[in-house]
Amino acid sequence: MSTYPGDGWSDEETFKMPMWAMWAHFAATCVLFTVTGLVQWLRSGTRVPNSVGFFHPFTSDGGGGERVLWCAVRETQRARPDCQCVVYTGDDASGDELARRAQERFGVRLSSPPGVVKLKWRALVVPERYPVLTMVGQAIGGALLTAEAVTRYRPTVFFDTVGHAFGYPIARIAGCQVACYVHYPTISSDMIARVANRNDMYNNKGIVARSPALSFLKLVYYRTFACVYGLCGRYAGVVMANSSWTSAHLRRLWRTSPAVVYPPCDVDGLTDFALQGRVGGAEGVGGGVGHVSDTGHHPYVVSVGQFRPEKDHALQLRAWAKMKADEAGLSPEYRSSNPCVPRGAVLKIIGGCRGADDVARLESLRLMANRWRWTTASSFTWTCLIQSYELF
Amino acid sequence: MLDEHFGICVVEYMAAGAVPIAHDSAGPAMDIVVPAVRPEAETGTHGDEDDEEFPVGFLAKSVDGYADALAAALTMNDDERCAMADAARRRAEGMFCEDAFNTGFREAMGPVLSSLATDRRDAILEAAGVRSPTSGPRRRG
Repeated sequence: MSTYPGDGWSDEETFKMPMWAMWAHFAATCVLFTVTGLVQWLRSGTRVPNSVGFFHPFTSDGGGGERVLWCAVRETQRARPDCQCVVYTGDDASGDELARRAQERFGVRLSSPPGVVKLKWRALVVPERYPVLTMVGQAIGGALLTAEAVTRYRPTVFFDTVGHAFGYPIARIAGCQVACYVHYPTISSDMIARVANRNDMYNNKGIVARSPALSFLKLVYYRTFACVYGLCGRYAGVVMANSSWTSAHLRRLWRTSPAVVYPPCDVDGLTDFALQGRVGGAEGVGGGVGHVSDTGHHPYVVSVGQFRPEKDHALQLRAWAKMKADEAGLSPEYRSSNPCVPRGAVLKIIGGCRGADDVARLESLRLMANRWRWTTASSFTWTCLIQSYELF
Repeated sequence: MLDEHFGICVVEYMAAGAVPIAHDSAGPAMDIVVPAVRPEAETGTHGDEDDEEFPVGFLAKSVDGYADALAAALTMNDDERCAMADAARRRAEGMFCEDAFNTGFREAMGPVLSSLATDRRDAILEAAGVRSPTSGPRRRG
């Protein structure tokens, strides 16, 4: 015998809906209304036929990504002169200004200036905005930014040049075909492996690596994230990857077969240097313009890269010290009959610092180099260009 | 650096005529410094299928590997160094120039771009390869 209205069958044998079913019905209705409203909103703009929208929120980043953007726009204009190309950007720039910038900075001449669609929600994808759960924050931010983009302008083809895969389902719902150029996967199986093996690395803090519970939680987080990332990535019709490595990761995560299209590099301006008349070899552990010159009498090795942890400058120093120590250990007989490393060979490390962390890292590297300068016959030359953005 | 996805800078210094010494992982190992001299590899196992080509640089992972690569690079004579730098420059120019990107981009985007045709008859003929989309906006006449 029941006196509560919500617990199923009543005494009178009349059918009453259980309370949970009513709530479920209510919730389902709400969800349906929301979804319908969202789809309506996403499709509110008129679909522009024969158009390509290039998604690149930080248009003036000046890096390799921007070169890819302008080369892609130029190639689309060449392949389809009648097609309308627009660039989604958060910058305050007109199409003419962007076209001029592409020409001046990258030497890319566009046949006509692109249309510009201004994005106001760009701040949603800035990583500093999310001190914890950065990946999830950026993913949701990216999806919202894509939603803003397609509601402002609905192209036939939505071309993503920055790899915000979480926006692809949204662009598809809005009725666009999705194409993308991916510079690096948002999450890679290497990152997951590092957490699983509990390696202390720059993306895996020591406190997490030491604790089994935290490592497990982080692993679940990464695996779930990778799964959702893969589901979203599958919405792209055309996938291009910048390297075999990225391509291999996308094949595993997205289960698609991306085309490897290497990013365009500005090699023309560099090929005029003569190969003859230089001394020694060159080095580029840190990633930068390794360059050998004969301005001094001694050969030198150059390493260019910002003083970031991933560049592993300490490894470069250790390798140089070991090479010098190995050389010093050779017998005079061997030296007289075999080519040896010139005594005056110098390692030059050039880099920039972006923040206090980098400055501290540079100081500790200086200490390390000074210590070895006395203990071994190594000669390090230090050049540090703080905030030297013009180098890159 | 470890796991650099591509490594444009490595391409740039190869184009500039420097001999690259890069980390044996990801982009530099798979795409750029190919074929490479790997001091850490067992002697005799180098160059699996690229035996014919001249190595364009060095790849290493550990302190020992880098030390050996540095020593080897610095003890090459001028002819050897020039031959390696030349091979590196040719690879940088040939594989990673804008033309290579343009060709790859067109190949990948071809189906999507031809589906953009506003006219159904254009789309059919373009898909069959009969009509070229580059012939201009007025194609019917």
